[in-house]
Amino acid sequence: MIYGTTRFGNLEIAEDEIVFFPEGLIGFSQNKKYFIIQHDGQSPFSWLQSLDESHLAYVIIEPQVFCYDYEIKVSREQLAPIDLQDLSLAKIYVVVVLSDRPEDITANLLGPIILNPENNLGLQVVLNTDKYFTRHRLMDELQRQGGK
Amino acid sequence: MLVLTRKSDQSIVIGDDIEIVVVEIRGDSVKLGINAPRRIAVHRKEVYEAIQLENIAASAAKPEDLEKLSKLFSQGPRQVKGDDEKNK
Repeated sequence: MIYGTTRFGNLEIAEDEIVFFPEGLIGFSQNKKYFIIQHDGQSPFSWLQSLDESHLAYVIIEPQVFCYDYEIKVSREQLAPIDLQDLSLAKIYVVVVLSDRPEDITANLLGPIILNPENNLGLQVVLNTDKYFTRHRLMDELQRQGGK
Repeated sequence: MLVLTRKSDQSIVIGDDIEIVVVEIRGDSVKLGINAPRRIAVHRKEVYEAIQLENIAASAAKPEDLEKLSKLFSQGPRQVKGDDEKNK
């Protein structure tokens, strides 16, 4: 099926490539169908493009790229909507807020996106931790890891 | 807003399947226990709102904004190490 998007034009997407978020993203519960677009071959960034709303897309990144020791704890109940038994099988992304200055670019490590690759179901969870925040500067994290 | 007075170990029931229990009261903190079906998401309000705000901010991104950044990252952490040495 062909889906129109404001950033990427018309995309032909097969049913089995669609990621379904039963609960939407936090604050966007109406939008449930998404498609992940890799930014380009070299880039660690991807886009989470809504297929319900053509202008809605988020930049996402796998947190391990800039925060090697990123670790999340979620309960079985939290994972129930995506039918995930084992968190180690999941694919994890975090949402990025861009800025003109690279040093001001932040990632939300407190509200990661968890995908179950087996059934293409996705979920944004709120972690119950003091360790992570909604705004981690990507550059600071990289620096921290590099300095180890 | 409906306001109810409850003591420790007392609870309120919302609808058929949500129960909120006052588990402990200590100083100006109240510990609450929530029994609700799995389909009902329960969050601390300030955390929920912060994540909602980040999602809204993130959804304004344009592909060209990412272009510059991707170049920075395409060389990975190696480049950052180099920067570290420069700073010494």
